[in-house]
Amino acid sequence: MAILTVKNVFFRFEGLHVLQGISFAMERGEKVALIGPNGAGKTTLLNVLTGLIPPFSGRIDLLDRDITHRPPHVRTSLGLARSFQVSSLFLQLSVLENVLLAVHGTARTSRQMVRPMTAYKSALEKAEKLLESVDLLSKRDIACRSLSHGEQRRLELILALASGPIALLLDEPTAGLTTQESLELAAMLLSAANKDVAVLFVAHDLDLVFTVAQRILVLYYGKIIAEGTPEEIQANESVRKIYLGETYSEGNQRCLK
Amino acid sequence: MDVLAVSLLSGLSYGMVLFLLAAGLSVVLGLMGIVNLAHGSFFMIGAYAGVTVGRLTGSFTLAILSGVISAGVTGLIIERGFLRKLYKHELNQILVTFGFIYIIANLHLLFYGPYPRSGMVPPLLSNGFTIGAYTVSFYRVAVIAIGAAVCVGLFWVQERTKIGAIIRAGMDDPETVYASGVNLTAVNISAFCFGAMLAGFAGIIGIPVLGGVTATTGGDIIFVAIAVCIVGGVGSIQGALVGALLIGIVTSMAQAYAPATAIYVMYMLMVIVLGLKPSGLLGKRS
Amino acid sequence: MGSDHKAGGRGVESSKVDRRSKGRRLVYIAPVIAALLFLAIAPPFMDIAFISLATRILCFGLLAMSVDIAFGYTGMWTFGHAAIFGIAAYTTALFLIYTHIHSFWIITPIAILMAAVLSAIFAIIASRSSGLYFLLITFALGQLVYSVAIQWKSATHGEDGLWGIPYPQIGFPLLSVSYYYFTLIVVAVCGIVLYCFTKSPFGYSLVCIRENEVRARTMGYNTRFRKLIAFVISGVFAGLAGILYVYFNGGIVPDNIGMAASGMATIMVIIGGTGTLWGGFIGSAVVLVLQYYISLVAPQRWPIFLGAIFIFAVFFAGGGIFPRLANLWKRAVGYGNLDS
Repeated sequence: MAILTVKNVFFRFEGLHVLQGISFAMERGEKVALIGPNGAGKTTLLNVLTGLIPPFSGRIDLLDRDITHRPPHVRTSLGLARSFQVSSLFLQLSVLENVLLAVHGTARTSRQMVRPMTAYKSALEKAEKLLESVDLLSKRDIACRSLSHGEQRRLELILALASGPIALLLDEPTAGLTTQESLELAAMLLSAANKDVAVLFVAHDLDLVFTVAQRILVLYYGKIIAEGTPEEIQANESVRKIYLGETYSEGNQRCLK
Repeated sequence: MDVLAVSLLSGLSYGMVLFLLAAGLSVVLGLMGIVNLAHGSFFMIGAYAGVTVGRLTGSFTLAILSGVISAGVTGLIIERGFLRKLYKHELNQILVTFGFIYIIANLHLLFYGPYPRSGMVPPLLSNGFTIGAYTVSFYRVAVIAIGAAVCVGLFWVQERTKIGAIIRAGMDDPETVYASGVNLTAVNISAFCFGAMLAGFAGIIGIPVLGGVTATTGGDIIFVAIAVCIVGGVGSIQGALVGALLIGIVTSMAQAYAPATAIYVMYMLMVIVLGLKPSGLLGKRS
Repeated sequence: MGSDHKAGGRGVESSKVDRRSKGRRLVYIAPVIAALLFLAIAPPFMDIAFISLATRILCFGLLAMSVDIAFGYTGMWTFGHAAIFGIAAYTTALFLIYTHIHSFWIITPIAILMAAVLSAIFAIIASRSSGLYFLLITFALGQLVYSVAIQWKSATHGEDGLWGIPYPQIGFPLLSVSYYYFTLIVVAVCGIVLYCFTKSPFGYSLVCIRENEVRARTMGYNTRFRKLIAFVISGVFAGLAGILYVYFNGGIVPDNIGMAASGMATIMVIIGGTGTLWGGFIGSAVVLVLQYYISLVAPQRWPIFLGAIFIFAVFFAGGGIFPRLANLWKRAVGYGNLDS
């Protein structure tokens, strides 16, 4: 059974059809990339999937549950997690506090009002394990605003992983990183996450996309115009037409081949 | 039937005064994102200045002028002296203007004393016509007419003039307006001072409608202005008009039919509108 | 990419951190302990004016702390909290004047319940708006409650207020000095409870909601629910402050619950430091001491000074007095910043 099923999702905003008839499904453990030019609606799609904005019509299922109109916090507790394109960290708090909050968010302890947050051993262990997986354990007491951009992107990633999701939506997880750093982050993600987690990631770095993704969705002005394996996408006529003329680095050359 | 007609007229005239008061607040809030809690104090400043000059000189015109100018000058001082440094820090604007409520109110109390001042009515308008057992003064009708005229004028400025377009654009996307070479800052300051002057004008012509002005009026009437903005929606002339007339008429009706509830109706309206449409009846959804 | 530290090194580091934090904690709270000792020991040696002022500072400090929970921690700009403070005070006064129920232990829970209900009502009405509009709405709602207090003359005696409230009957008699200690103990307990609350998972989640509500929602937090609960908890402590105050003051008037009082509670939090909890007491002390001395000299002109305090606080408070003092103390006892 598919983990995440999206059927015919439409989204309109003040007369502009941002998403038109989006349909796809993700299987257990699948790594799917979502690519497309800027403004195509990729972040909007993630916002609709996570419940931050309601779709105009359509249906979203997580395993066998209809989550189309469920609020974000319910979706997260059901196993859908998300990271943001612009690091959405709690800058005033320390790295450890950020991760602990993410861990507690879907734990039964989230409503506790008496004992200190750091006193819950299992949550603390889970948080430390997550930090270790992205090499941030040594920075646990540092305030997030003092982290470098790369460190913030890594933290951003484990905040999403902290809820133990079965479906993970990553909005440009490697934004602002070099290709080398991106591939390292991708390696960290693949080892830190459960093998069964279905991952949908938005990316512009086509090197990363072609290395990591098993399947690629191409979103072009609200419509999915192509879907397939990396080889199929590279060979696709309409995809090549879109990417011709855009200024990326090596990714462009690869696509043209 | 008579009661209905009289309270309607009364409510319309009260509503027009509220419109003149709240229009400035609403547009400034929508335009500059500035909350000026001292806006009610402009009303009070205009009222006191107008009454004082009016009694001294006997001229209604001079009264109006002095009310408008003193309110405008105070507005300029507050905006340039304090608010310009707090752009985008709404909480600080609130606290500073809140402080000004007390400073202005206390100064008026010390200067004018605790007793209410009643307003001036030009002799031409001091008579009235009768509806059944009640008399409606011509003054109130004049207030309605003036309010309507100002409203039409402001709406025309908002929709049909260049400066209105700049103001509306500034509400949506200030960066682009600046980038187009328009001196949005000057426009904003002018809008703020004009709003203050309008409130001052509302003050001087509004006293006979409200029944009097005291040093606490500034602090009292800001809540009505806030209610108008919440009910009608912020950032447009039509929103201020709808909110003001609705509150004015409903309050007046309540005063006629169930006087004990009169103070509360405006809050009730506010709560109802918030439940139905949080951005106000004519407000834009954020 | 900064991957210098190995797993083995971590073991040594964490014990260093632990030892440091235990020692640090003791030295760090030394001034707090000193302040508490002063508050506990000084009063019998001071005159009645001092004790009276100190009790007043404690009551408003508790109100400021409650405002800080809603405002500083959760980011809800409440500007009508004095009404919540007031409804508990008025409930207490109404019981004492109009009924035969005079037991502190019966009236207090009912008054607190009223405060909780009113906070829930405020929060629900204002819940679909945020920031600025939340403030305007709570401001207006606070004024509505104030209007009721003035209008409902048969019950509340309007502007004259309700007077003749004796010290609470808790089993043994209380006078002004012993009431001060009673207040001190209650407020200290409230302070500890609220401190533990802010360090708990729920309390921390409020900071998330303030900093980045969208992120908090996608982390699994039901932010709408939490904001409501936080506001009600805040209201409970505001109500308790009102109860302590009405016994201390001997009565309650509408002016104590109107916009001036709400504004003062907010400015106390800002002067003392938002989101610090204890800052509320510092702010309360600053404002009330100023009010005391200015009222001795020029009572008619107090509103002008109050207004000036607001303006000064905005331009000069910075992050608040408490964080500044805390940083000075940290540097004085030789600890660097966490960030480096």
